[in-house]
Amino acid sequence: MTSSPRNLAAIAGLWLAMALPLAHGDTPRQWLDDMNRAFSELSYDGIFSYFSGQDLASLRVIHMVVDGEQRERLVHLNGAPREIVRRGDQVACIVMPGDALLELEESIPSGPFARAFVRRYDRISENYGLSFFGEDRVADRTAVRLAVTPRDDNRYGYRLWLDKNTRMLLRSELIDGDGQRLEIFQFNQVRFGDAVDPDQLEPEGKDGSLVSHLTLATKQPEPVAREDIAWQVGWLPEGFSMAAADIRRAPSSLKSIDTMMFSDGLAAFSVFVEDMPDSGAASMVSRNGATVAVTHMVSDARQEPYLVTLVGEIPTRTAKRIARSVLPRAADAGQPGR
Amino acid sequence: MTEKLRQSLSAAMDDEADAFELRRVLDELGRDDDLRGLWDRYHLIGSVVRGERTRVPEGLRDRVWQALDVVEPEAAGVDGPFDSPVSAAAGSAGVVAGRPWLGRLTGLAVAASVAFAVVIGLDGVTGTGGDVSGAGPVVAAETATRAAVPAVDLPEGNPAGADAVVEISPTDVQRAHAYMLHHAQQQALNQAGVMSFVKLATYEAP
Repeated sequence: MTSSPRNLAAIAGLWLAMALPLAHGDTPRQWLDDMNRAFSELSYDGIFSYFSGQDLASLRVIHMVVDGEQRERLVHLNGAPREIVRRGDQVACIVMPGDALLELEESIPSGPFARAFVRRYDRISENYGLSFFGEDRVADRTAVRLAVTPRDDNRYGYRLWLDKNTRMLLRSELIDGDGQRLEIFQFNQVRFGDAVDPDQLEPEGKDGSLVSHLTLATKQPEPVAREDIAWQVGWLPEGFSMAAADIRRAPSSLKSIDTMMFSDGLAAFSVFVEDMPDSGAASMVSRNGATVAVTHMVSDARQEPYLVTLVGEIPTRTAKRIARSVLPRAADAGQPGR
Repeated sequence: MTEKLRQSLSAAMDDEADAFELRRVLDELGRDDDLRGLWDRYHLIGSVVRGERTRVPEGLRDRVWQALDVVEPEAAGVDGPFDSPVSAAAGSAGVVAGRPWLGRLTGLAVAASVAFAVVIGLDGVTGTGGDVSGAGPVVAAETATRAAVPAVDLPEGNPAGADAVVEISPTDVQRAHAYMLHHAQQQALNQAGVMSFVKLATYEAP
């Protein structure tokens, strides 16, 4: 293999990872673990910007642990008035009448989601290089910068800015192989600890607002045996494995929609396989920020057509290759991945 | 590709290039794959923005609309946030009694779905009659408001190059959209921290 710029960057990152841990007392991996803990355990109240695709949104988040239970409130500050309130595993969305999220609730298969452990940092170093790259200032706080560099072209990379004191994520950039930033998250201001007022966890609920029963799972659903899933992917990028599988049903026909979710410890994508709609469907590619959706037709052993939809935060080329490799499980005996 | 060449291409697209500049662009188009790709994208974007639809087979659009099975949504529950278990009643089957899961579309939902995802190309056509294949990317006018994104890549190639062409219907967009949100929900549940619900909170961000 030749020394591509990416390889050189990875080597440089490795060198930095070896050289700089002492500067911050811990390894980059430890910082990631601490970041994850900070999200769940700290009290914080902040306003952040989120850029995805072409859209820039401002949101406020308040988070505390109350009586051993995570409480969180997320407030959409521009566009549609909207709050998402979390209490432990229960989630509700408070919206105004006519909000598109109400339609969303009706238009997707609902029901509890499987526990997928989408992000498992213990596996991350297999697929990504981790390295410090200096310090910066975000939201008027000193941040340590961390680069998460993919080891191949089948996943995106991240640049993270972690608060030097709390190790909370202050800014993140999701970047593609060309260095283009696909998504940016950044706190504009944030406060921690005793400065957070528990009363701010209560939803404001504007006059006339509704509570959308968003179908975010609250409990462990009945496990679906993976053998029950009629489909599988014939090709997976190295490092990805199935994190969850489920069978849902189309309400009108009760025909099944096989659902599989894959993760490499950081990135994730879902594959949905359903009967081909009577009206047919366009095989197409759509994208919002880092999220790509690819639809593709496959046939089973009886040449019955099915529609595959792959959605995930992976490069388009990779997503298309995976979607096109989907095949019936029974027909797989000895068939190599493409 | 130089910035000057990109500007010349843009000028040529707008009929503002002089003869020399136009000749230079045409010469470069023959040599530069990237420039040719950009030229194609500019043309696609232009046709979408102008609402042009080309070579749409008769009858297909009607069939797609019939498949929508449009019904008005019921009023959403107006409860306290945690008065009832979130979706627990739906069970793993996710059944909304008697309704196609993609059927409850209103104009708002279609508009929202268009706002959410940028359709960046047609990869061919699939249907119960087999792969009819698309001869070129044709994007429905409904995607026009969000289609002008020069940075995206069109899918490479057209599978069979047959004459049959289909437009991407609102149903197709809605389906992709619904699955995107479904995926976001799954991830949200399995992640800690503020990022987990951001995609939901910013849904429909115009």
